[in-house]
Amino acid sequence: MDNPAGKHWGYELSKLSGVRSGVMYPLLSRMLSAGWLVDGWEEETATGGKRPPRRYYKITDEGRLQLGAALQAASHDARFQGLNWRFV
Amino acid sequence: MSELMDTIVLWPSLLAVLLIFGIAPGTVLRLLVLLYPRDDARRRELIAELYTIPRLERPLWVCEQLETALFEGLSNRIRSRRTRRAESAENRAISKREALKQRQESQVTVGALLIRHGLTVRDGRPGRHRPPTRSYRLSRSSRLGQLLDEVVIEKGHARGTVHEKAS
Repeated sequence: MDNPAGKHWGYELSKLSGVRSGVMYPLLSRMLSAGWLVDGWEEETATGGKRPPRRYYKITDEGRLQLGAALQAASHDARFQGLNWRFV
Repeated sequence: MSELMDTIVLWPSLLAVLLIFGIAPGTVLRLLVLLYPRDDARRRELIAELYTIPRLERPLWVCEQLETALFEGLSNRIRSRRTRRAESAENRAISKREALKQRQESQVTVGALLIRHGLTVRDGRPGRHRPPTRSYRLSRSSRLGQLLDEVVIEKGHARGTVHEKAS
């Protein structure tokens, strides 16, 4: 990922990570409620009025620590070998 | 003949393609997001995301959202409904308690009550000045009866002071 600290959309994250969107959205909700992410809405001007504004997610400092630790642990786990680690 | 067959085969196929890759994903998604609670941001989010997805991927992506909406949306809706019910029950209990407290604490002067009902006080008892007609008298007496049902006149208390009955 080029800019992990930037704004990212659910579909984009699901594409980058290889996690199905049906799993990704509930995951994002849980991370939001845990305070690992913050969310917001795209500016109306950015869409050019052609589509509705998207909801973006940004990682927090707490989230960076927690997710870094979780990913570190998961990278050695055989169950997660199928994931796209370039995402990290 | 073959041209005719081609036309028959072509039109339904074209319609199906238009339906599956054109109208259906948006329509189905809009129906699916209704499973989420009304104030859930996911409703707007999924609809907005749909338009950034390539057209060929949209039908499959919408099918995936069925899973999300069923498991996440429905559970959120049930949870929010339970919360709303609990909150409204709590609010009802609080307002009932407050109303009872206010009723118990409130002191109303007979003078104020009787003036409001168009009556006067005579010797510590509510009375009235000569009613002009029989119908006036009847209406006043029924209102007085109502008033006396509502209030208890404390004997020996300063004239004109009553307490509402604590029910």
